[in-house]
Amino acid sequence: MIKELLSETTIEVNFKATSWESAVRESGELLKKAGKVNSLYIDEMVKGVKELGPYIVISKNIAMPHARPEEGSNGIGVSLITLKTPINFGNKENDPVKAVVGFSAKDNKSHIELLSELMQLFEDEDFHKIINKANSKEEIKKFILEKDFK
Amino acid sequence: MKILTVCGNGIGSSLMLAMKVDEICKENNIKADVESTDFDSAKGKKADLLITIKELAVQLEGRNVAIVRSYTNKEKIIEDVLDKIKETYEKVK
Repeated sequence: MIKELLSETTIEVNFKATSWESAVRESGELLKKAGKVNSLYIDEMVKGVKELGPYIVISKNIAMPHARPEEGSNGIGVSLITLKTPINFGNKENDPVKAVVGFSAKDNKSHIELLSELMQLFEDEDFHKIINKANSKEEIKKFILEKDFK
Repeated sequence: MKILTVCGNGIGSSLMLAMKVDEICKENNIKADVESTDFDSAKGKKADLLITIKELAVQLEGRNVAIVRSYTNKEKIIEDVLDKIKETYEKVK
């Protein structure tokens, strides 16, 4: 799934985020450009962090913001941005955030393959290395395309 | 045994956690129906055990809750909750 969903449109490197909110909004904007979500969904992505706390910093230096499908999603999508300067989201265990992986789903389950692939990426040391040093979308896209997902 | 994994939205972190908990149960011969859910729905759903992070666990008073430090790191999940899963399983099976 992720090999098809991550593309020129949905990857961005070295984004200059001024705050955690601007980083989350940017990841939402990429999903919107890809036609997966609308503006309401982006607002809900931010609201989720404000209301429920920064639990979306799900792995070391990686945040995975998202909202519920009925809050403006058109389908399954994923975006990946790396931040030029890591930002604290308020999660003591996994801050600061270097990569923001936004996603959208259409129901409670059909994106399970995407989540499984994301988990494999988050557990891969080489993925962590590449998000820290990549200077181009191509490097990231290449890594994902070459990875052998189970 | 019914296990609910809980996060804010029910489709991201909790779903990842449910996948890990499911694997862990199978590896330990524990028969469990593992489902992910959002925090609001969790309050109204029946389950033998709820698994979530500390910030949400403290808001689930009166329920049988196990706390994880990570939604995705299997080693940490095992360290944090396997004992409670086994203990609950013994009581309900």
